[in-house]
Formats: sequence, structure tokens, C-alpha cells
Amino acid sequence: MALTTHNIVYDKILIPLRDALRNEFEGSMPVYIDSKHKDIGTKYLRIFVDSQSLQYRRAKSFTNLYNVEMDYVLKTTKNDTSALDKMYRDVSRIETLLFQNPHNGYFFNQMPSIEQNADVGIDNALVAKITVPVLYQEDYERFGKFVTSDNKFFVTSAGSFYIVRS
Amino acid sequence: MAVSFTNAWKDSLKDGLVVALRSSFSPSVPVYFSKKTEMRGSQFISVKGDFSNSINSMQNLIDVNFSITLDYFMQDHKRNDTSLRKFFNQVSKIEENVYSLLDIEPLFDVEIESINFTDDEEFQGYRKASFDINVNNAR
Repeated sequence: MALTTHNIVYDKILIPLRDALRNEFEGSMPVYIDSKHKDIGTKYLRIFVDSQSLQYRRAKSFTNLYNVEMDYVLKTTKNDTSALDKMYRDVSRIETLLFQNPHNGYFFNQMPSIEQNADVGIDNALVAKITVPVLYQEDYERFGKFVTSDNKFFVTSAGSFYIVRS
Repeated sequence: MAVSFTNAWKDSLKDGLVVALRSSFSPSVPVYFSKKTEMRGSQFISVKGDFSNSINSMQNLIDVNFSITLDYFMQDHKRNDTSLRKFFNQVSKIEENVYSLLDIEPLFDVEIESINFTDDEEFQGYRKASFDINVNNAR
């Protein structure tokens, strides 16, 4: 019997976040999911989950903290106030969107931390790194071995155990 | 007279973990327990034992924590939404398999403490999910 599983990181964490950001910016800024930067215009937002860590473990569920990294990239050869203002404006807009927490099913563990003017190895670009900690709980199926009345495991002639849902 | 003992790493841990994963992933994703990671195709799972420490020894039981690293590799040249969805789908499948299947044994307590997602440096073009797993077992 196959286990029923959910694609937690992609379907539960990244896609709702990406779609919320795409809806907010309505095509004015490409938003994509990947661990690497892509050359897709003068302004874009890259999002990815770098890591996850276990927070709580219960009998049939686990709660993880997902470390979502977002890189806002604005390509510009100008290093003046107007370029910086544009970056600060967009980053504040993203921060406000996250604060409003429009998603169902998961929670921001705390407000995002933002590093302005980050160095990610891209020339002629202003970059802000936004880190968002996200909590998500997943329920999982739990099984047990079939045990006979004398407390021995029931084994088939082929040597297999009977496994039952507990 | 020689002491009677259990091969804890093999019987209590390696066999249970590898068999549980193979039952869900083989033959499409090779699963192997090894000291060194070797490329086994476009997707593979490498499991390594890191260390164990005994919490305490009681009269009839040895209570041990095993630390394991499980690395899942997937080749991804396309780097699009479909391939990324597949990568994270396999990650979730491994995660829930570890919890669901290893919990069958009443003397096992499993925790996936963390998972790191990177582009592997040794195998170019492969995404890697590195699971840090802690298993407590009494025997």
C-alpha cells in the first residue's frame, strides 16, 4: 500500500508565496522559484527554501520551520538615490504583503529580516535579501505491525509482516 | 564464552531504513548505504551513518542515539517549475516515509532534525537535499 504524501515545500510553502507576490506586482516584476539567479530582466524576485528544521514532533504530525530566502534584484548602472529609493519602495511593499499574511495553511514564525545592498555576485545591481521563517505542520500516516494474541508478529509464508494503520 | 550481541547499526537501523525507502522508491531511485557517495543515475539516495552515543544503559536495555545523513540527489538540467516540483515531491515522500515506516517498530523514535537544499558541488547539475536524521533505539 503506497503512502499518501504531500509536496510540502513546493505546494504548501513556495507556490502560495510566489502567487501572492505575482498577484501583488501584476506582471511588473518576474517572480520565480530557484536556487540560482536567472537573467530575466532589469528587476526580478528569486525565492527558494534553503533549509528546514524540525520544531515540534507529535504522535502523527511534525511541524517544521522553513527558511525561505528571497533575493530582490534591481539591475542598474546608476548608484544614486533614485535607484535606492526604488529598491526600498519595492522591498517595503513585499514586507507589507508578508505582514498581511494572506495565505492559509501556514504561518510566518516571525517578521522577515532584510539585508539591503547584499552582495550576491551580480554586477551593476542593487540586491536586497529577504529571509522569511515559515512554520508548517504536516499530518502523516502511522502504521503498526499486526501482532497475534500471544504477542508475536504475524508473518506470512513469504516472510512478510502484515502492516496495519494505527 | 563470547558475548551475545546485536549488530545495532545493521539490524536496528540500516536494514530498517534502507528497506523502508527501497520499498517506496526502488527501482526508479536506487537507495544504498555507503561510506562514500557514488553517482547511481539521474536520481539516487545515499545513506551514511555518522555516529552513535549511548544515552544510558539500564539493566536490560541499551538506549542509543544514532545520527544519520541521508542525501537525495536529482539531476536537473532543465531547472524549471516541473523539475523543481518533482525534486520537492521526492523530498516530502522521503520525509513522510521515514516517519511513517520507521515508526512501525515500537522501539524506534525518529526525528528529521533538518534538511538543507543545495546545488551539489561534487555532482554538477544535481540538486541535493541533505537530511540530518536522529534515531533513538532501545535494544
